[in-house]
Amino acid sequence: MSNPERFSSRWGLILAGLGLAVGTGNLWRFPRIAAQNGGAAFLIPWVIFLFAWSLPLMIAEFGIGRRTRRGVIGSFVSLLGPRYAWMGGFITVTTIMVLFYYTVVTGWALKYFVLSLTGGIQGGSAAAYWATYSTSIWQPIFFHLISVGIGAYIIQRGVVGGIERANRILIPTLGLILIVAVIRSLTLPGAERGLEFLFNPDLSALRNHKTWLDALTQSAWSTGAGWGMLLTYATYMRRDDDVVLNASTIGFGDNSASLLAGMAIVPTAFALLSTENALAAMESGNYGLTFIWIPQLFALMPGGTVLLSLFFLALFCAALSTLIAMIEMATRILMDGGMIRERAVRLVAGGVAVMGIPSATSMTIFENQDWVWGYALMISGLFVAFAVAKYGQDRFREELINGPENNLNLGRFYGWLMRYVVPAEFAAMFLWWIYAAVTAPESEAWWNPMHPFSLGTCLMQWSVALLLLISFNKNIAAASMRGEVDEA
Amino acid sequence: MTWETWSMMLIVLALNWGGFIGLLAYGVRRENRNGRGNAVLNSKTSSSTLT
Repeated sequence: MSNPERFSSRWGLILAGLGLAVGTGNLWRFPRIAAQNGGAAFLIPWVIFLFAWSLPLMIAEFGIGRRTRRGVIGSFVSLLGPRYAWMGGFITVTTIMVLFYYTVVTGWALKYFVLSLTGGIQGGSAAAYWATYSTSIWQPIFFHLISVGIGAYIIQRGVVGGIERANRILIPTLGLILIVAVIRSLTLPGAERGLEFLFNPDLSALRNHKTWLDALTQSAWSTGAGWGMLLTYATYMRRDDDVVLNASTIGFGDNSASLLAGMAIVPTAFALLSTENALAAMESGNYGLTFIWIPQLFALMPGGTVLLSLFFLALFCAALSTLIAMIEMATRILMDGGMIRERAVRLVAGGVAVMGIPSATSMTIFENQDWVWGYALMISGLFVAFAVAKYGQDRFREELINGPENNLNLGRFYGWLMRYVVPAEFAAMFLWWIYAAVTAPESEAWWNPMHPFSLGTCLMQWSVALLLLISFNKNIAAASMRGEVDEA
Repeated sequence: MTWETWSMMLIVLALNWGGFIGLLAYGVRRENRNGRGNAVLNSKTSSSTLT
């Protein structure tokens, strides 16, 4: 390949990586999960898992992508041989299934941004509006299609003109809005009650295993470690770009964005609501907090209309920057199969436009897909760790990570983390999740594959994906190596 | 706010925001150094081509 696509600079890569990592999970999940799990006590395991799960996997993805210069499936074939194409396939399927409903979320954020600009949403009617909107058909489909269109347009323009340029706008905008929101939040009378709630070190919460498991899933979902998107972006790294420093900057940047979001939302809730209502807001779930409580909160403060628009703009920026990473991941797989970028993007956009419609029109389907593929992301992380261990963790570290071009190099502890710690964390999380799914009082149908939130539906959908991938493993492996690879 | 809350907030923010800004600053320094190194290398290469 004469002119390989590359990020133009380290900043292009870091901004794209931050865009990928900072998503809706930072804005609507982190403040809620932190508040539910003892605030500051939650922050301790959350930081530990950044080092023990997310960063090791992010570094592995960077190392693999930079070496193989192929998408996720081609990378597994290059690294481990054609027998393991199905593992890369499972990571790909999982992220693409998330993509099918992530465009719907991006559409909601866009719709609410437009609505807040036109004054179409009032605090008191937010609950009724959300109930009507989330059960309607045409508007969610329309905004889902707009999101697919915007994402596809950006990806069609390539790595520098599309991904890099979009993130140069989206990420600073998001950062600026979050900083403005934090300043406004902390200057409200009574905001210190929220800070007290968020940062009071009630260490007794550390004795609860749920705090640790929520911290692990929050770190994994928020950073995007093990999803294959960083691996895809890493295929466009310059050969002399650092792996460890860039991955760590992105990981810490993602945590910083989460803390900004927490400090913008939790003190605002406690300043403007009674303690009882503030707690109810924090426990109302992702959509309840974002689309019902946030409009009510901002309606209570001076200048709230402007801040509400800024909040939904921030949510849209965060969602879009992650969405384009997902579209690029799917596009890269088709390009590895020999397709040109324009055609691959059109095919991906068409597929996502159609496959996202069920989630756009039914909250049950949306929540089922979020439940099934959200947890499958943990398996994706395990497969990345397996790839490192199978290649040989010390060989991987010496050949794919450490090098004279690196600003930071890793010691033997990295291999130990990937071989033992990451699989142990996966096993603990997975067994706890199965136990919780089977023993919860409302889960008498845990075995039923037709129940939308059962263990059975997860096992059935994962099994279908795995069965198909393993059955067609040979074809998938061959197709993933058909395109040219740009070695520069 | 109690002093425990203040200290916890400062520790968490120093670790995360400090880590992010520190790594970013270190990256800027390295990138500038590499940029200067490459510029010197390019000027040497171009002059040798001319002669």
